[in-house]
Parts: sequence; C-alpha cells; structure tokens
Amino acid sequence: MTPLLAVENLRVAYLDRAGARTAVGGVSFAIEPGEIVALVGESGSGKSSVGLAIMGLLPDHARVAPGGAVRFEGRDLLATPEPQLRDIRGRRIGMVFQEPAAALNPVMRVGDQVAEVAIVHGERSTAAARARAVEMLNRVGLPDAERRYRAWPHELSGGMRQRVMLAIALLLRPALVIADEPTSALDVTVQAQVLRLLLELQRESGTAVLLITHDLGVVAETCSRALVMRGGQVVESAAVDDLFHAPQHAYTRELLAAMPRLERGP
Amino acid sequence: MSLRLRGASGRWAPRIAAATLAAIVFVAVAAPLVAPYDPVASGDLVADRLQPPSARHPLGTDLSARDVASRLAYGTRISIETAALAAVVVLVVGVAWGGAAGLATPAVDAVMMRVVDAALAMPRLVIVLALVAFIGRISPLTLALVLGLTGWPSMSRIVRARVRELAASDHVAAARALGVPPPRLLVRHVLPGAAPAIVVHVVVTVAAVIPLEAALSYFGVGIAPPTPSWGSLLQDAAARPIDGWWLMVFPSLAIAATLLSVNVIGEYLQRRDGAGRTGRAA
Amino acid sequence: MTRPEADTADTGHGPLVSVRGLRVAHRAAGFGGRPVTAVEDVSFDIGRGETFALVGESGCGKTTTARALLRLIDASAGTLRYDGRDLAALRGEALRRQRRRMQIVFQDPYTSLNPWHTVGDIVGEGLIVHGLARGDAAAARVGALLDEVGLPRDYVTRRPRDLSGGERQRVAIARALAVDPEFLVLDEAVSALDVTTQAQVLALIARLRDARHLTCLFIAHNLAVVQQVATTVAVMYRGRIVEQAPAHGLFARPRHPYTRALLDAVPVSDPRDRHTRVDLPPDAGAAPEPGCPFHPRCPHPAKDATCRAAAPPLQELEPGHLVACTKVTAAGL
Repeated sequence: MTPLLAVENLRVAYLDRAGARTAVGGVSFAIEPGEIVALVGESGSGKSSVGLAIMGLLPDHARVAPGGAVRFEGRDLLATPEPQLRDIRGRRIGMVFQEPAAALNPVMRVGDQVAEVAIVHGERSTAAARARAVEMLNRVGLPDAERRYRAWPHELSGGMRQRVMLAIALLLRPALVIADEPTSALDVTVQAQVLRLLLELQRESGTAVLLITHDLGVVAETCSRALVMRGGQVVESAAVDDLFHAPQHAYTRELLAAMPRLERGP
Repeated sequence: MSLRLRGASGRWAPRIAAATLAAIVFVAVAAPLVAPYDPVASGDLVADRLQPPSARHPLGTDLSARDVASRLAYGTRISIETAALAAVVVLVVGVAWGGAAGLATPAVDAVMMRVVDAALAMPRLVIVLALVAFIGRISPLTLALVLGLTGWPSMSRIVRARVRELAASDHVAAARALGVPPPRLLVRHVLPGAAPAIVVHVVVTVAAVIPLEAALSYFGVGIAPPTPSWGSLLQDAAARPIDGWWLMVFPSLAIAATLLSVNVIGEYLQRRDGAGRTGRAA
Repeated sequence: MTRPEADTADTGHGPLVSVRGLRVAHRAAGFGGRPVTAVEDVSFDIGRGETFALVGESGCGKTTTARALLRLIDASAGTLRYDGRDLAALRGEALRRQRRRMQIVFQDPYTSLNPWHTVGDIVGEGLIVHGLARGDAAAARVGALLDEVGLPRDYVTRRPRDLSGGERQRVAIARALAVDPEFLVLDEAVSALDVTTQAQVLALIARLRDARHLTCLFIAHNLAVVQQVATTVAVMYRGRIVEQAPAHGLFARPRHPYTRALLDAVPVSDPRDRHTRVDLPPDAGAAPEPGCPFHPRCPHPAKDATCRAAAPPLQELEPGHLVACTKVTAAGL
C-alpha cells in the first residue's frame, strides 16, 4: 500500500539577523491511511515546523531546503503552487491548532465559519452548507448546536471552541488531519472529551491523524505509532506500545522517566 | 525590499536628527559664545538697518539694526528653554499624577481621572490668552509654566494606562508579595516599563510646545519684545517679508529643523518601544 | 522524592495557615459588569511542614484563593489567619514585614520576572527591601541562592530574556527564598515547563522544601504532579472546595463525583491502560443557584432534586476526608 503521506528528508530553517537557524534537520516518515501517528517533542524540537511545512503554512522567514519532499495522494506538496494547496487544505487535509481562540475568526459566527469550508470548496447552496454545518456541529457534540450556530467565538468555552475547530477540520471528511497540540490549552476533563471525539470521528470517516504534542499521556491515550523529535531530528519511531515498554533511544527514556504518572487507586 | 529600505532609513534618520538637535541645543546653551553681537542692543540705525547677510552680519540685520545671527542664537536659547521647561513640568506633574492614579484604589483613580478629563477639556490657547489678558505680556518662564501646566493631563493619562497594565503583571505582583514598599514599587518595578512611553510623550510635548510658543509670540501674545524667541523673530520679520527675506528664512529653518528632528526621534523611540514590548519570547 | 508527613503530634500552636469562609468577588470587566464570585465559602488549614495542594480546572478559584491569602487581592468575606494572626488586619509596615514569611512562585516565568532587571537585581530585591543584607553581603547571599537553585553564579548579570523557561523558574524560586520564608505558594509553578524541565524543577522544589522545612500551598491542575508532592489535597470546582483529604486517601479512594471524573480524565501513562471513561457532559455555564455547583454535569446515579435545592456543605466522611456531596456522605455515614 502506498502511504497517504510520505515526508522525505524535510529540512526547515528560519532566517533571522544572525543567519539561518535550522529547525528541522532532515526528517522522514510516512503515514498510512486511517492511522493515528504522534509527533512528540518538547518546545524547540521542530515538531510544529514539520506540521506547518506539510500544510504549506510556514511563516515568510522560513525556508524549506531543496531535496526534500512531502508526498500526499501522489503529489509533492512542497512543489505544489499555493492555489492548488489552498484547495487541498480544508478539503483533503484538515487542521486543528492549539488555540481555538486564535484560529477562529472573532467577528464571524461560529456556524458560518464551519459552513464557509463547504462554500469555499465548491458547495453552491448556502442553505445546504448551513445544513451540513449544523449536522457537523451536532456531530462534534456542541450542545444546542442549532442555537449555537449563531454564537460568536468569545461566547463559547475553550472546549466548545475546539469542538468547532474539529467540525471545521472534519467537515469535508479529509484524508488527513494535522492536529497541533489540540488539547494542550484545555482542562483535563475537556481534553478527555475532545480526544475521544477525535478518535470517534477518525474511526467513522477513516481519516488519518498526525497528532503533534508534547504530552506523552495524550500519545498513550490515542495514538498507534509515535515519532519522537529532538533538536529537529526524529530520534525514535515506534509503535506506541513498544515506545512505552521498550524505548530504544536515551532521550525517549528520559522523556518517559520525566512523565508525571498518576497512581490510581484500586 | 521595503523592509530593507525601512531598515536603512531607520538606522540613519534618527542619527541625523539627533546630530541636528544636538547642534541646536549647543547653540542654545552656548548662545553668549556663539552670538557675535548683543542680541538686544541696536547698531547704527542708519548704516546697519535691514542689511542682507554679509561677512559682518552672516544672517543680516533687522529693522532695529540688530544682528539676526545673535538674535537667532539667543532666540534659540529662549525657545528651547521654554520647551524644555514645559516638558519638565509635564513630565513631573504628569508622571506623578498618572502614576499615583495607576496605583490608587479604583475610587481614587476615578476621581483623579475626572480631574484629568476636566483639565483636558480646557482649551490651552484660551487659557494662555486669558492669562495674557490678565497679566499683560509674559516672561519665558511664565509661558513655560503655563504650557507645562496645560500639557500634563495627556501625559498622566498615558502613564496611568501603562502603570495599570504593569501593576496587573505577575512581576509586579511578585514584587508586592516580596514586600516592596509602594514608592520603590513605582520607581523600580513599574516606571522602567512605562519609561519608553513617557519618553515618547516628552518628545511629543516638545514638538507641540515649540510651534505653540512660536505662534503665540508671532501673534504678539507670547514672549514680550525685545527678548528674542523664534516666534518673536518671525513677528519682526512679518513687517518686511520680501525685502527682508532673511528675517523670515533663518528662524523658520531653525523651527523646521528642530521639529523634524524631534519627530523623527520620537518615531524611532516609539518603534523601538513597540519592538521591545512584543519581543517577549527568547 | 520524600513526602513529609504532616506534623500533628508536637505542634501545640495550631496550623500555620487557617482560612475560614473565604469569599472573593470581583466586578466583571467592561461597562456595568456585575460582580462575579470567584471563590465562595472556602475553608482549610495548612499545618506546619505540610504541602497542601489546591487542584481544579481553570477558573475554579484556586489561584484567586492563593492571591487572597497572600493579600495580593482583597477578600470580600471570611478570615485569613497566619500563625494565629489575622492577616486581613495587617496594614502598611506590619503587612510588609509579614510578607517576608510568605512567598510565591508564579506559573509563567516569562511574565513573573521583571524584564528590565538582572537576575542579581531580581534575587537581591527581597534582601534590600527587608534590610537583610547590602553591598558585598547581599552579593554573597545572591550567589549562595543561585547555588541553591542550581544556577551558575555568573548569571547575576544576565537578564530574563537570556534564560530558558526552566532557568527563569529557578530565578523565581531563588527570589522567593531570598527572604527566608516559612510558607511558600507555588501557583502552577511547573505547569508552563517542558516535561523534562518540569521533572527537574519539581525535584528542586521538593528538595528545597525538605531542606528548609517549608510549608507549601501547591496549586496545580495536573493531578499526577500533585500526587508527587502533596500531603493534603483539596479539589475545587466553581469557587468551592468539593473534596479534601490526605493525598493517599484522595488518590486511592476519591469520593466526590467531580473528583472521580477529574482523576478518570487524566490520560493514562501506559497505552495498555486505555479504558472507557465516565461521560461527563460539557460545561455549559454556571449551575443555577442555589444548588450544588456540579449538579448539571454530575454523573452520580442517585442525583435528584435535592442537588438542585442547596449547595451541599463539606462533611467529614472519615478523619480528614471531607466531601461536599449529600449523596456520597449519606451513603458513607
């Protein structure tokens, strides 16, 4: 089977006054359809830059070195011009960010933001787009979705905003969702709900997920495979069970040792 | 590309402005050394009256046969002194009032800010004109005090807003938890953060006071003759705009160069403050 | 990491910190904002040498409680006692002297250090304002404090922007310890740090606490972290304490439905432990007064109309184990 996404020798550098600073130094990995893969690392490991590079959303002062490729459904996203990338984003690749407050448009009703995804990707009928949006908002468990369609982002709690983000990301049943710290800004009970929701939707639609996170608990909870990043390199790639029970790299062992563990009662 | 251009002007314009301003301040401070003649005493009213620039009088002479270069040097001194003194008054009163309001309880703060609103509602020019009507022509010191005492409210507003913002920050909370007494809290922990905004506003004050003084003196309600200031020099020039062009040109150039320099420096400081505040992450 | 046991045998002079009926209400931002109660009827004691943890999700009032206790914000009602003395009555110089005894480390090391000061200024500030040392003596004390928190001495001339998150938090700890406090509030002090850094700073805190015999108020949302350091844990929900117990009792036998949901929601630390969870409805705003604040989301099977009638008081179920849920206490008594 050809992988859904194949990242080959991806290198990203940021230009600043001092020169070029390497953030990602030659990363390669693949994701199969329907798979949930974690990209784990601490701040500065380069994990977010990998996600942004795949989506073609790196900031202006970032440079992707030639020689690498991001193959997705048969084409190299790094060599795809922006108009076609825009078509892929939202339709074939969905995105969820850490701060739904920042990722949502503050002056647009949340329901319209969901419906807009359908409209920009070819839905002609506004009514049909709205109906799909309401259905999806119901699906992501937004309480009272019909009424909350007309809510502004600031009127929703963090958990509800992240549900709206999931609705936007999954509306068109993309083949891949890239979720960058989707639950890090959420409280633990809300995190559990959002993660479970992500898993349910993923199972339903067969979407593959690249989950970028610093939290090994989130990895243990949701993923089938994990890539551990440090200093712009993938230092270990393993099935999650192996990663937790037979870590190979010293840094993985260090991360696991540092992970706070809750000892539960009987 | 545009970034590089802005970078270049961003580097050089403030330096040129600072050098210009330094030269003007030097003339102001060293007026007695720079000026070749007494600025007030008339020369030979027949031979030296309204002479164009020459070797003897590099900037010409005026209708009273006084040396324009000397009057401009002393005028610079008076105008700069007036602006500086007004700025100091604005700085001291505005920072003290705004700082106190920023750290005060909400009720006290509300009262203090209503005072500011009231002060801001009083038009500056009307106050100055009323004062002139009351005491006649005024001295540079009085004018500076009047301009300063009418200029502090906007400063206090800026300081108060910044102090409120900083007082709510964790590092100020940490200092309070440490038992730092209020005066030290203001001076060591809050004002350094407000300093860039304060400096920018001082510059803005200077940039506002200089033309105001010039305008008042030009219309004959500012600094009284025969004391030279940039405004009163222009008033002298108003009588002979064509055949006495040098009377108008040199003071105008001095005013323009000063304002341009002050504004360029102000913009530079503002930009740097903005960059400093957003550059949080290491 | 050793866990100091609460010293109840030989104190004889009561708890170090005693909070009774604390209420904090503040006016909501914006024009005509109505008062919002952040903390409601909170009471607890912290014994000498104890590490008392306040846990809960964002907005539950744990940070507000700590700030009121440190007199950084004003309480609307209730009494705060420190070593038997009424904290609310302290003013001016007396309050300033009291501040030496109780210190705080904040969550965000990017905002809690003054960016215009050097590390030396920051750590030495407490020495200066309390007249503990000056000149060379102060410099020597600052150096010793940097040693104590594991930072190189030549950091004194650096500014916060030159430091990593973990290093900044060490500076914040050194600043708090400079005045030799006996009581230390750690307000999410390790939450903003990377996991490896978090473990190091947590170990440092535990070491310093044991070496200096500190009494701590440890505020956190991460229950696994709390479990590592706390002797007593109080769980807050919407401004109230809903359960309080010795740490081992709380983690071994959580009783309040919210505590159970909270513990249940913590991600597993081993993929083999994945399990289905209690389905907690999303939080859709404040509970209608005057009922139990948790009742709209409560999954307890015996939930009924009485839960809507009144906020249940904290009742002692076992010695030291308090629960604010009539269903649980009725079953347990």
